[in-house]
Amino acid sequence: MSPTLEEACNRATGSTVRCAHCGLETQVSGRDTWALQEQASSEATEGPPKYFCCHGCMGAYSLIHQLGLENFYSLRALLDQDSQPVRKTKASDSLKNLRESGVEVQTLSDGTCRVRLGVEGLHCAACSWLIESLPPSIPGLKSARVRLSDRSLELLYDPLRTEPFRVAEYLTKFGYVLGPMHQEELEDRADRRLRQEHWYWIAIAFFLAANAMWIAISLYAGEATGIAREHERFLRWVGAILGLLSAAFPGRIFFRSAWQSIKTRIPHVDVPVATGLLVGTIGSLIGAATGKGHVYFDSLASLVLLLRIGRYIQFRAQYRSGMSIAKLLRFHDIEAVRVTAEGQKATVPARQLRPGDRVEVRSGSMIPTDGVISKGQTELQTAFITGESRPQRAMQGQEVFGGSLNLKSTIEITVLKSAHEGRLGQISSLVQQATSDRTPLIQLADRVGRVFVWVVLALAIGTCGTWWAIQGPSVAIQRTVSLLTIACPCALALAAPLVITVAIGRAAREKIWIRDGNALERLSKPGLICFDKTGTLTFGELRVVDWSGPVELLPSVEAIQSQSEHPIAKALVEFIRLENAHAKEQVSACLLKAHSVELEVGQGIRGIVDGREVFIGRIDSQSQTQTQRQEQDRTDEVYRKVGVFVDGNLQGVFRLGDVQRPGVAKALSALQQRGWKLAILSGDDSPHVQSLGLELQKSGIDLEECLGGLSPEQKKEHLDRFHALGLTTVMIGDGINDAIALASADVGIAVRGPSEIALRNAPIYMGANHLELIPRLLDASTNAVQAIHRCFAASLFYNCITIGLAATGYIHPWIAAVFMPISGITVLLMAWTARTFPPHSKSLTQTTFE
Amino acid sequence: MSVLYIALPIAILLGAAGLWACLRCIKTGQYEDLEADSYRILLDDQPELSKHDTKSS
Repeated sequence: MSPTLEEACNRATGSTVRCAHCGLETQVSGRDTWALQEQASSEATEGPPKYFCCHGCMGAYSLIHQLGLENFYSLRALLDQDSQPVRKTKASDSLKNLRESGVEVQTLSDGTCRVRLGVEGLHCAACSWLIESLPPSIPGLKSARVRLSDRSLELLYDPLRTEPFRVAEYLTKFGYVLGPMHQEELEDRADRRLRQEHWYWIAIAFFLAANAMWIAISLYAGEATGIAREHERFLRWVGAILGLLSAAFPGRIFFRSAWQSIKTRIPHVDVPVATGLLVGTIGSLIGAATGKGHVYFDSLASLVLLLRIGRYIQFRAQYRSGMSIAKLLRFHDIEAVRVTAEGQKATVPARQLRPGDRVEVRSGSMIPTDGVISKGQTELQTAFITGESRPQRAMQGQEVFGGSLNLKSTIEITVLKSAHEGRLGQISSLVQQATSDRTPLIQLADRVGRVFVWVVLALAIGTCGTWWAIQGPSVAIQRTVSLLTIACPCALALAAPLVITVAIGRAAREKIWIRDGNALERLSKPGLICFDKTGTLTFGELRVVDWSGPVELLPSVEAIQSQSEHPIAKALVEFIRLENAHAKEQVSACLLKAHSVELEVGQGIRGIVDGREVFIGRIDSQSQTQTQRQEQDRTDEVYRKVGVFVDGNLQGVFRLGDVQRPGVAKALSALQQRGWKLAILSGDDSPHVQSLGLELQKSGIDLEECLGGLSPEQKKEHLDRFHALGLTTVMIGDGINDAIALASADVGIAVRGPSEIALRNAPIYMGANHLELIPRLLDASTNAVQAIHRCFAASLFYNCITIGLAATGYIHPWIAAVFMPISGITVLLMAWTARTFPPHSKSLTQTTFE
Repeated sequence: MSVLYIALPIAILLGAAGLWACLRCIKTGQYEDLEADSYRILLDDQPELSKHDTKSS
């Protein structure tokens, strides 16, 4: 074995330090190559020497320093007190119990076990050499073989003497992390079996085709130079048998699917193909039996070969796109750290969690499934699930949902529902269902495809008959076979579902969940968009609009209001903090303390700051007469005023209101540009609806209707009225109180509320509160429908031309077999590259909400 | 009796033997990773490894 490896093993007894970058335990010794002293950035740090486990970590560390990002390390320590070396636990724990981690262990006849594990950190041939040199140093390990193509390692070991866990521990020292193969890799294995089958049959088809061709060549040569009659007959028979074998074994797949399609009476692409093969087979049998006319068996065998190759290429292309879609739609494939009763931790896929399991969720990772916090508290980002864009505090005993992002500190949760039953699982299954729905366009494609098959068969009979009459059977058979092979309605059948599925998957990336593929088709043509006001166009809560008064007063207000939980108080505090951050004025806000804070119900809040009595509350209550107060109420319905009184004198006024979300005007005018009409249907009875309408009209937006004070039923009536006018109606509102309206509109788009409820009411749910996403969604729908039309057009055009050429004899069967997959793949490519969701433009990413 | 009647079947059988070998390669997954083997031939010190292997196991 290699000297380096031996050295590394001997060193295992040295004292250990933690790697300054990744936190991994490393040994220190004088000439140690694995514990490297920091050399690269000596000028960047003073103090104790830093140790690194490998060059990679040292490189990362010095890079971080050079970029001036050294806060990363202190922040990391701050955010997560118990940030242990993550990699080590990840590697070893998930392998301790192989069965639980879903790893398949094969036991061979001599008692040896075989297991395949994923390897992280595998880069090049040197890595594979290092790992493969391991066996002698671990007793019981018989062999280790690395497969670079999918970064996996196959271990052969004696289960009595060692286990993969030990190997993993050993390899971690070298920076390679072993783990169970991920779901994708497992799927890849199923795919590998299919791929092998394809290769297998291609090899057989190739053998048969090559031999048949040589025999055909001898026959042609014999025709030219003279050949004994019995030899010719023998060669014909051998060739015919080869051709027959080819049709019977590698070609069986086409007959089988054609037979299925006839049985189920659903015409399929393979019907013409199988007919073509059958015609070829009969032709070559007749040729062999009569000894007359041209030979077909070579054409037949090569046709089968090319068709099989084409099938394989199509399989690859479809598989690739299928994989990418699966990846797009895989929302709940998260790893979880399960804690056993004894306190041991193991990394398992979220789908293996059962109710009652305890799971540790570190900061920065996603909560794997619904549960209750059993230890710790933190802040969660739940936009994914509830649409709430601000971080939420989560205390012990509180219910949390899978898909929420843990922002602050490590918590432990007790699982309530398995990943499939949890909210996230339900959402993804709702969305996944949508991809298998057959929307009208897909149904149309299916119908056209069916008609197409019959038309092709009719054309083939016509071609065969005509040429038989004019030039005899050999020409007739050849041309019929070409025609049957080249006609390919698969483009029609494939394009529409693929485009819709891709669009749904990409939308999910943008946090737009689409439950119903029909919605995309309906959104492709302009109609009328109705908005709910509260929560959709506005924030749906009180916010400070402006402040008139001295800035010096704000810290005192904050001191008092931070002691209250009232919505107004919260709004004020938030406003002041924002102002502070904005002005970069670190006014000694936190130093000010408010004494004897008293709440006067319905009036305001009173307290003593800096020896002065400060009252924050209704302006009318102290300084205004009864008549003034009534006047005030009338003019002040849109905005609420809150006064700040110092020692009884009015010093400043806050105006509060339900503020328009930023970017609303921009988004609405973008919709208008696309030819959509706009309306506001609000349940809010205040004049605010009208004032919002006026505000929007000022920024150049025409509203068809701007109605307030509508009951849910009235909203529905209005939508029905618009629908009766022949407009596609789109309702955008929050998922709960607009449920009826969302369901009765042609397309309902829910923007807030728990998403799985929203998805049940409306076919589309937007997880992020971006109104800008709506124009993008509309563009995506238009693009998707256009892409489908383009694919249809391309497919029809292709088929018309090629069928014409084949019927008139310009295309040989071989060329036809080559062209057939090309057409299918072109359409797949067209569908896949259709720009349903173009990449974000700058303006969009900049004007994000909060 | 022409030699053709013997030669042609033999030729096809020889070809079939090649086909069989190829199918075996596919089935045992020898075409799965064309990358690692090309390096392995350059880097492995297999004889030494197997000696150690027999000793230790």
